[in-house]
Amino acid sequence: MKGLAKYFILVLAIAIILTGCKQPTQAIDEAKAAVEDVAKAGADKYAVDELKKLNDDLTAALDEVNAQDKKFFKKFGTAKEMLVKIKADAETLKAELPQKIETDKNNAISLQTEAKAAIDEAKALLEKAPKGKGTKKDIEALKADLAGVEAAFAEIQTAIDGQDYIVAADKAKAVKDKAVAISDQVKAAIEKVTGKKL
Amino acid sequence: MLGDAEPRRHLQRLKKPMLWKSGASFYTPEDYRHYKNALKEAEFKLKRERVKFGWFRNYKFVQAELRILLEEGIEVLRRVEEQKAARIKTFSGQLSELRKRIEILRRATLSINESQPARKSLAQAEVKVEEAMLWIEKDKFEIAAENIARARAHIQQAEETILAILNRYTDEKELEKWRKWAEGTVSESKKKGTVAILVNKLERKLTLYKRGEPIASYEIGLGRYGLSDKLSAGDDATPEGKYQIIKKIAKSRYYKAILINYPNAEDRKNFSLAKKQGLLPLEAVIGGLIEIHGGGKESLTDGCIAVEDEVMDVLFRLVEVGTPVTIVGALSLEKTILTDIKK
Repeated sequence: MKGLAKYFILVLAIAIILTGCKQPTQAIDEAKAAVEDVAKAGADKYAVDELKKLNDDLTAALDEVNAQDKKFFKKFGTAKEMLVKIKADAETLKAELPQKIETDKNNAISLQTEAKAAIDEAKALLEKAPKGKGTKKDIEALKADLAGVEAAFAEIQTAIDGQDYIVAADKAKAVKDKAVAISDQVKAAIEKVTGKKL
Repeated sequence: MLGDAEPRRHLQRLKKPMLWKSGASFYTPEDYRHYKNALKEAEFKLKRERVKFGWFRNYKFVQAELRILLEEGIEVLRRVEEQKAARIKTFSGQLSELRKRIEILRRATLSINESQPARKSLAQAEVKVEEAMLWIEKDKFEIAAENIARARAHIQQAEETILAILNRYTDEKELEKWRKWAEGTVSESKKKGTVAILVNKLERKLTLYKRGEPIASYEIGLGRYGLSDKLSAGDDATPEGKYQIIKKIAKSRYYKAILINYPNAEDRKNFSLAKKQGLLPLEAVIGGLIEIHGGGKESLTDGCIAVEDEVMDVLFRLVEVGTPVTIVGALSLEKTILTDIKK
């Protein structure tokens, strides 16, 4: 009877050690799901750095789990803490994302409007430019340049439609710069002929 | 016995997300991983000291470890910055090359009066270069590389358009024909001791000869399709051939003008042949009124040759009715826009 009790205590102790040292699978799954979730919600486009940090932290936490897993006396406490923090960080980021996306969207749309205005100004200048022999060649060339800029402008809307607001914003900036440069050249061509400063 | 303020300060500095933000996990993944593991280890040791009774606490070793770690972190950061700078340098070099290429091709479009679609492609390329630059500023090199690739594609497109127009200038038979015309004109000027005009379309140059010697050279403007040989009215091309001055016009719409005898017999023959071969529409008529006139070398003519007004004054003084005017496509391909493009 005494021997049986010894075995019972031993089995119980092993069971306690084993169950207490089990991988924190639930925390792993939850952290992974939270990171995936926030990426799907748009963090891969609008919070690239933050998402990268979350992924790095997740890798570090999983490294910690693996490191403990190789030990005889496993302690998953630190790993679990890390995983819980990752989940919380991912959820916080997800909650902040809509505002971030909205800000980027508004910025892209505003830059798109500015780019359109710059194109319209260049167009108007080209229309009123004197097409004499001295300017005809320049004006023709600048019209072709503007056609290229308009083709590039179309890409902004495609990016906005695809919810690539940061890409759209950069496209708009580049288009605007080029359109402004064309306007400046048209003005220079007009000044060359009329002698008047615009 | 040491207080724990010092290691804490170290730890604060080490934990600043500078390394992570600098992209260390991308640029120096091994170093970064090693650094992070060492930091974790040091944190653990620090914790272990903290839970000890005050009398038994000793931060000396962990402090030393953290100092080394801080140095290591700074070194990793330096390596990251070094790699990043090298990448930026490579990209900047590429962008600068693309800008140069765009400029050469843009000059070529002006030289051959090609407006569409080469200019359009070049403008698109410029926008892509600008976009790439914006992404480089944000350290987003993959997106920058995509934009550079697209800029290259647009440049390639422009290049093909321009080279298609310039292809006839690489034809040795054509070059030989033009050379013979030019040599004939110059030797005639030498033999007769007279003045002659030689126009080189590809070089955009009008050279004035006297007794077979070049005495002056001027830049010129041509028709929109000036590099093509004129075939019919309204094609905006500048004719090629051996002509003569038939009229000097002292008051012209474009300052002064010199009318040449285009179309000559050869031009009429070519026109008829093209019509017979169906290369021209039935209603096409042969053009005329090709002049050398003022208005400026930047002019885009309907096929005439434009020069600065002061050049017209010189020409008017030196040429007579009957003075030969020979217009050639090119005499050699060296030092032309073609060599620039093919570089």
